[in-house]
Amino acid sequence: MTSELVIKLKAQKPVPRAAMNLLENQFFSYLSTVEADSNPHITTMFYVWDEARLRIYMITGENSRKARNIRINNRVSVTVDNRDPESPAGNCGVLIRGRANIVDIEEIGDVIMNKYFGKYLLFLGTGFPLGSRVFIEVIPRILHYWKGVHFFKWLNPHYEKPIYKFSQVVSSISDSSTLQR
Amino acid sequence: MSSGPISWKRKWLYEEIVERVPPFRWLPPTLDVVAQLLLVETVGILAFLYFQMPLNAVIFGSLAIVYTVVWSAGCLYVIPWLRRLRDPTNEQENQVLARYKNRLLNDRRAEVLGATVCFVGVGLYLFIDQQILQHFLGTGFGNPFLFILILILSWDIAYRLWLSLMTTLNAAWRSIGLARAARSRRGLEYTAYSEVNTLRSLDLINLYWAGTAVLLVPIASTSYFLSLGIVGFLAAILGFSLISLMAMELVPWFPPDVESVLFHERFAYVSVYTKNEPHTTPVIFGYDGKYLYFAISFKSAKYRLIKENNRIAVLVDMRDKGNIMNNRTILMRGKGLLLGELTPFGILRMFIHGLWMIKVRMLFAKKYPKYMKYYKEKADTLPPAWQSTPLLSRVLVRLEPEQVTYWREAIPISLRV
Repeated sequence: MTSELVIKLKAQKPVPRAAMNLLENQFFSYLSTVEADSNPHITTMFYVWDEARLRIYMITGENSRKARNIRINNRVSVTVDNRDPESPAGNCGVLIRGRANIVDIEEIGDVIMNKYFGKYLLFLGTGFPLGSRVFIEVIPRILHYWKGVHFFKWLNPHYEKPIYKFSQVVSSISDSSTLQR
Repeated sequence: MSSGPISWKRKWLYEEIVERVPPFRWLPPTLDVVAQLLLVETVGILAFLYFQMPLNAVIFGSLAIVYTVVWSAGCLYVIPWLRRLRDPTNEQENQVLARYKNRLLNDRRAEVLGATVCFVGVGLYLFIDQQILQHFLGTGFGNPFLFILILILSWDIAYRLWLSLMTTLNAAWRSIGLARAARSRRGLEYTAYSEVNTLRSLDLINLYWAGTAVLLVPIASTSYFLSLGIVGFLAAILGFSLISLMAMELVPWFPPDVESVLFHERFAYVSVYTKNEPHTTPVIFGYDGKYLYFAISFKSAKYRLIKENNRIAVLVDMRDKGNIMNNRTILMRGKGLLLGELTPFGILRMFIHGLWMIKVRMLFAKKYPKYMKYYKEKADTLPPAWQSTPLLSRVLVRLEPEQVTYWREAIPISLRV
């Protein structure tokens, strides 16, 4: 029964155009990570949406709280929304739940880099330091889109469940503890 | 600290006696109290047996001893806590607290003088109206040893009654001063709310502690003047404690910078974490000077997730696309308390927080008039998850902040909790 449902949902393609536009045009996103003591943590982030690969990219400091959290637990959620103070029917937004990877700034490629600075250069100014910064790449497992009372859900058919290896987990924890020190 | 950290090291007379007099000096503080109880009670019972006093004398005498011992236990518990209080960042509030500690812990003259006045008053009364002592002491009346014992016991009681009165009076004075000083806060100045909470719980403990004087009511009831005195004492304690608690309610929990964002921003982002994955959604919220409130639907994923794990994080931010330095963000983390569930525990909570729930409802109506109008007008056409009837479709979540982080000009400031 459940597997049928999953197949049915997976067949529901693609991501609605309105959600894509919202992700393309909004300025801020809210990234939620999980702390080592399993409390949630949220931060406001700049982001770029890669429409071709259906991924979100963000820049953060190498030793920032979110980067450390992601090294320990890579499950994250990202919310991008448009606020309407007039009426709740005007609110729309996207909630993405999935996993995050930390990607080095050299490996990210020019497309994302150009897009990021095209979007935020005016805001950040030219003095934005790039040393000790990393990219966070979010791969959606599930995408919720809402506009007013209407909800839409999209499951990523290409999402692979992460396979945890004990050695990896241990090394990631010891990594982060050295960083904290 | 304005007047130097050493000054709080000074102690009450009672604590110094406990530290210096031999049988107590060798024992840890918790055993001191037990040793005190055993010592005085043994002497009392021996006197009772030797002089063949009436039975109620031993009962009332024991009650008086129990009172002194309970008081001492309270003293040894509360005072170290008071000394550990951290200083507010607002200078005026800091001064209020410094003066309070100074009056309470360093004012030896007030301590001894007040206690002596109490002691002399009770002593004179007993001396004039000798019938009470005659009745209690029976054949032992007039014995010098017993006389000294009575003197010590009544000094003990008078000293403790006076100190209880002094602490509650001082607490009321301090709370009023703190509430007044809190109005002069600027920027990030404040008294950490953990300290406000500590002071409030200290006031409550103080009330129970001073309230143990109820044990003295049976003894006092044997005479009109003594009972009048004890009732007056209890009334004063209760009154001052109430004043203190109410004044503490007026002290805001966060500095003005944070409050301005919390009062003016209209959206918050709530993150809940269960089953290995966080979940973030925007909500509308209300802030009443202490807690953050938001309403969620029984049908929503948030409700289900908060039921599973009530550790939540809420982010409120002030956005400015033009200038990066104008962006301010507050991240509060803590436990979410669900108010308005129709379960036995939920109804109990509603009973306790009922008035607050009405207040929060009014807060929402004031902050989001358009939203409330929309919900009211479209009530028939909205899906169940969007119905806003309290109790039936909505539940209120109150965030009890445990960790607060504030970003200003892209620099995080961790507020003390």
